[in-house]
Amino acid sequence: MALKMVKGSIDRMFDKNLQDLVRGIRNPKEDEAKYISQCIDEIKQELKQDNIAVKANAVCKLTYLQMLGYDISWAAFNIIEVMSASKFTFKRIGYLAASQCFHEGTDVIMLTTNQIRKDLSSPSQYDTGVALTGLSCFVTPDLARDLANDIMTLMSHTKPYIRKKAVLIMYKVFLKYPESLRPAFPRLKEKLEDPDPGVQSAAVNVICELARRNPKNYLSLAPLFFKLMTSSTNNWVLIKIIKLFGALTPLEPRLGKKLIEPLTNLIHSTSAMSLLYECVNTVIAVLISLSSGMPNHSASIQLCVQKLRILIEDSDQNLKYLGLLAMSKILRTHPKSVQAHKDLVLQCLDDKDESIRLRALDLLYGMVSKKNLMEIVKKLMTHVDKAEGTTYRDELLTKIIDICSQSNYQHITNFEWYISILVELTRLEGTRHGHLIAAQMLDVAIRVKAIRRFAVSQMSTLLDSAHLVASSTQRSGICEVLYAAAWICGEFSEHLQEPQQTLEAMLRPKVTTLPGHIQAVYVQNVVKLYAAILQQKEQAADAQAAQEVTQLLVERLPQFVQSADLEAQERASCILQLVKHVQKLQARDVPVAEEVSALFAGELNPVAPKAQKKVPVPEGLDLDAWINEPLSDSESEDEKPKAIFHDEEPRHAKQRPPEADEQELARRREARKQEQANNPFYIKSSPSPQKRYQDAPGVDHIPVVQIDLSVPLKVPGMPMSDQYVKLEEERRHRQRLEKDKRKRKKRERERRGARRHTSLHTESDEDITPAQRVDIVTEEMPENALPSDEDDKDPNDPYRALDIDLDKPLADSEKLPVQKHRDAETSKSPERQDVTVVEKKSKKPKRKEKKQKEKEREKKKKKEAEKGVDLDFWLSTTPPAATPAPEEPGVNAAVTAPKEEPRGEEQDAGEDVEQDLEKKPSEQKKKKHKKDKGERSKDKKRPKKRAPPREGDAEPVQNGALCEEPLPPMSSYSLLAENSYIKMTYDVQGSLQKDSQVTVSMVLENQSSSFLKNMELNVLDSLNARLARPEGSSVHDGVPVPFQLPPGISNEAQFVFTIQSIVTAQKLKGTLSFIAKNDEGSTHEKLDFKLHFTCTSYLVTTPCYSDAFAKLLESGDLSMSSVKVDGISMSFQNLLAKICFHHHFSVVERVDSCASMYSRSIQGHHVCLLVKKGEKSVSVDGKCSDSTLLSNVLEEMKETLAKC
Amino acid sequence: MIKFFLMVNKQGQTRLSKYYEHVEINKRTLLETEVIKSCLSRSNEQCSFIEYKDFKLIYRQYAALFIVVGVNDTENEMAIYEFIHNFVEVLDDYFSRVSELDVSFFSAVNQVFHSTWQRTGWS
Repeated sequence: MALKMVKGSIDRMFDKNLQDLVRGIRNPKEDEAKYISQCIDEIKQELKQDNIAVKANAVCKLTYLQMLGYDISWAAFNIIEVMSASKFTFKRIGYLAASQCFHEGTDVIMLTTNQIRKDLSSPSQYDTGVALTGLSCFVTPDLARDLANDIMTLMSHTKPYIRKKAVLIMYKVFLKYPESLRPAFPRLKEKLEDPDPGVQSAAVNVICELARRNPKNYLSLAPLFFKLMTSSTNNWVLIKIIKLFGALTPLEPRLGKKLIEPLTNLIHSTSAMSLLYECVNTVIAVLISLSSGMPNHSASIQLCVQKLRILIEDSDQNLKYLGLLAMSKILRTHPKSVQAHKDLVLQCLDDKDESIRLRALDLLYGMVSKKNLMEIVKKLMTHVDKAEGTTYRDELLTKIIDICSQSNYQHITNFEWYISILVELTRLEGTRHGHLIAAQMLDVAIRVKAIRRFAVSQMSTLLDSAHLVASSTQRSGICEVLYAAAWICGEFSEHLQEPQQTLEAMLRPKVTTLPGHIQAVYVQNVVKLYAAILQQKEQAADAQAAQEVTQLLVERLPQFVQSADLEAQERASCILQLVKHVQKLQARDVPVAEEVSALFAGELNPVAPKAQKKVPVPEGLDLDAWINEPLSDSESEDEKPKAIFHDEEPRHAKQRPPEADEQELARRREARKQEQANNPFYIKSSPSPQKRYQDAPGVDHIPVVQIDLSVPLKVPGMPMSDQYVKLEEERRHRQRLEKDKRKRKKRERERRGARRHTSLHTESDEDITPAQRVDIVTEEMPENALPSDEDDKDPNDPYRALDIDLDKPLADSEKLPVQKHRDAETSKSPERQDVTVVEKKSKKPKRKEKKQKEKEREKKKKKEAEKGVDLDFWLSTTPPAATPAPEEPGVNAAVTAPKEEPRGEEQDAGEDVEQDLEKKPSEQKKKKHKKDKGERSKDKKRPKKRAPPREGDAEPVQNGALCEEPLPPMSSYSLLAENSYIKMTYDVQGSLQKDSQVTVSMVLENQSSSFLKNMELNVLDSLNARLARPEGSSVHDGVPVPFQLPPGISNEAQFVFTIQSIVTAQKLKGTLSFIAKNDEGSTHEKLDFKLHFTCTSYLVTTPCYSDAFAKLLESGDLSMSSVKVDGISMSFQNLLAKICFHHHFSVVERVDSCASMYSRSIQGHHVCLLVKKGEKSVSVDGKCSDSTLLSNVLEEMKETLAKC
Repeated sequence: MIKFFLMVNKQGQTRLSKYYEHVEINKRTLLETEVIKSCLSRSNEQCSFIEYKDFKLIYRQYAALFIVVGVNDTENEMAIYEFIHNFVEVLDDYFSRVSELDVSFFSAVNQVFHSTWQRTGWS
């Protein structure tokens, strides 16, 4: 007892399970980091053990630690080991760990390919499921390529659980391996109509995700989705579908028209907020797409806006947020309908929640007009003052600037007001956006000529009070505005009232505390100012004053010469020398003003940000060619860093000599063109006339009201901008009165007594005239600028690769890579073999086939056109939201109509094949009543039981198109039993994982008009072979078939058999019992069958290399046997293909008419063959580790060959 | 598209994390701290959506436990919001009155997680 306890505690010590680990981590007494490192050490020990249970436990703990943020990539290999455990509970742990920590960079991931493939094809749905789930997290392009075909097969699995997962993971596969999209798409489309809602929803999800990225390829699915939308009651699915329509409508406005009604119905009826929100969103998208062609949807807009208003007014903050978000989408196209709710939006600015305030701000951006801009900005300014938290204040600041500057200052009627707003914003404490304000100041001052005088006066005050701004330097970037202020004062110094005062302000010692780049601008602009002052003084003949200014500069400039900033220092020393020179000249009474100001002559024009990029490369210029062979590094001058270039640009422009007269210009034009051609960096300085800014139409003949600037602007206790608001209001009022007066007079004169218009005071934007001539200079572009905008595209977008036309039929080259060897399959139908052989051969296309393909291509083109027509038909004729009946033709047309064509083709193809094969007797005719659905489900295991073309007659087009793929194309299914109710075909497959199990796939097809249910399969077990039954059931119990069969439907069930000895073939008797139910009632029916397990069904195709093969033969422990078959006319190539297919061999080597082949049984017997073809005969010599098996296999082979 | 799913308690300890796009392990911890910080800083009066970097966080608080989902901008926020609750209801059912302690023992939660989220096909 005591010993047991001790042993138990030792065990536990070594085997700390996950619970213990979690408990330990949660235990507050322990030091977590120490505890975990101790645990990791233990885990490392555990991983070294051979016991898989211990390993799994260790990996499980590691997964938990990984989630807590510990790196476990070192255990990747152990994870793979656990993944390959045969027990499900361990396997699951392994896959979970892999899904958590594997990624594309994990190098061991390639080792998993075969393991995953094995698990995917496992008979247990849970193994498959766990593999799929794991794979979805770490699929790499390689894995995707190798496993795409397996996953595609799983999309038609009998279990919805697997189908669902397979469909979902296909999305990841598409992303990693875009080539798989087209081959897999038809099947994905099928899944949209899967009977299981889960699978259906998964398919909807995948297609929606795909379609949202590249909507145009999915337009043809619109009718199908429309049907789903009107029939589905699952909100999640509805949301996805509606979202998808939102992506499709911009491409097809007619679709939008069709959608409006069902969507508005949904909006009215649904109680789910998420669905309502999605509907509103999509309606908005629809309206946007319609807005060009169909203006008559104001009712829908109103409905949306109303609903959104309800959302916004809701007390639930989430709804409020979403309402504002959606509102901003409407705003883009229908600003009028949103503007009516301005009050609501402004109210949201006071909300407690920052994200709501930000959304409201976004909305304001679109709501401003000339009329309300000032008012809104005023409101925002009060918020700026109130706002706590710098982030929100900064956001407000940027929004104010955004709102004002949007579309080229479109809404600003009074720039003086705007400048004063900017100046007020500089008083904000702690903002990070000084550079933004500065940029605005510069932009406005440069581009609005009329404002320069005012701007300069404001800037000079700003410079004067620089100590206020600079005092907060350390904390913020607001001092950036000084950069703008200094530059504006310098550049437009002619407008300065008191240049001397400004100059002194700029030379204060305090300036040296500013950041370097600002000092540099100060220095540069001090000289500009100086030049202006000199000019002024010299004109006034005040030599004394001029010398004083020079003296001031000479005294103050040295402080910049000592600046830590290189740029400032360099400029300062340069200028200091210049000024000293001027001083000397002045001492000799030489007039210098002219020359000094010539340094800065010329007009500055704004240049578009992309201008540089858009300069076209002139013909014949090779930018990569060396102009001179590189001698020194001097060439590097050409590649100046951008910032420097930008800084210097103004100087370039300035230093250009003043423009000469017109003639001079004309004379130089040729020379300049020459120069331009040679200089790709040249930017033309004079604005091209056609690009001059045009304000709103008619702006030229609006009388420009000049505001008298001498009006005293200072009203005590009122911020500057407010005064402008007042002034502006007065101005507008005056204007309005005048206009009204004029109108009234007119009216009275002309039509007295006619109907009178009430003169409402609703002025539209156009009525408001700007206070100044808004002479906004457009940004310049170089001549012949390239219109291209290719810089907008992101080459790294993973979804671009998925932009694939899905309606185009599959081409020969498009196929999913298939594993070279196939799982075991047998066939007893000789007619079908022929087809395979030919298809295999078709890799070397014959001329005939080529012709055939061309024909097909033409037909397919036609088909595509038809498809387009179908969509048109659906969109134009069907009334929206009508009963499904009128939709039928459309839906069917899109999906089924193209079927007609390929039927013919395939028949052709089939006939060709037959000609090639000396006209084999045709096989059983296709039954007419077999409908697509039956075919489709029958086709589930396609790679393994490819239907021959003949049978493909009635197949849906997708499958027909797929015929061209060299997927394993032969059906190895053979008839098991048949009666008037049901037809059973089956196939036996062995797998290398389980050495004593084979899987029997049984296709059950309902041939009657009754509904078949309660199907149960029972087999009389033999000593050697046994049906695997669910746990707890006796040998006499049957195994239920997991589905029911409506009339005309077929489905596939899989049963696992345990086999002890595989060396002999055997037969098992069995019965299928079921209840057939029709209108007259239900009857209990039975069908007996005999399952035949051939020896070849235990063989599994396994590739073998020739050297390994030779070694195997040399080893000598193989017994030998041989057979010979006469009367064979088939070509050797076909013969080999046949053996490969039906007997699961692979060709090791082939020389002329002799080939060595290899296969392996599920229990590991090696089977080696030497096949020789003589005149009309074939001899097969075999070697195998078991002689009975060999002779049986050869017997079976002889039978097959005899049919050739 | 869902980018990640987190269950974090008020102390900032991750109880469950699930990433649908690979994020490096050290960046994960950083991200998780930032995410929980931004969630904790919000009051009940604020909405459950946070714009964070280039994606959106949708969170719900259940006692001391936060469930946070990171999505990109094409996702329907409200749907995710409702969905989180759905998930919690399933957990509640499975554990019969779920608590943070239950969630700590994560394998079961992971199972529930996979099946719930896949049933509706979100991930």
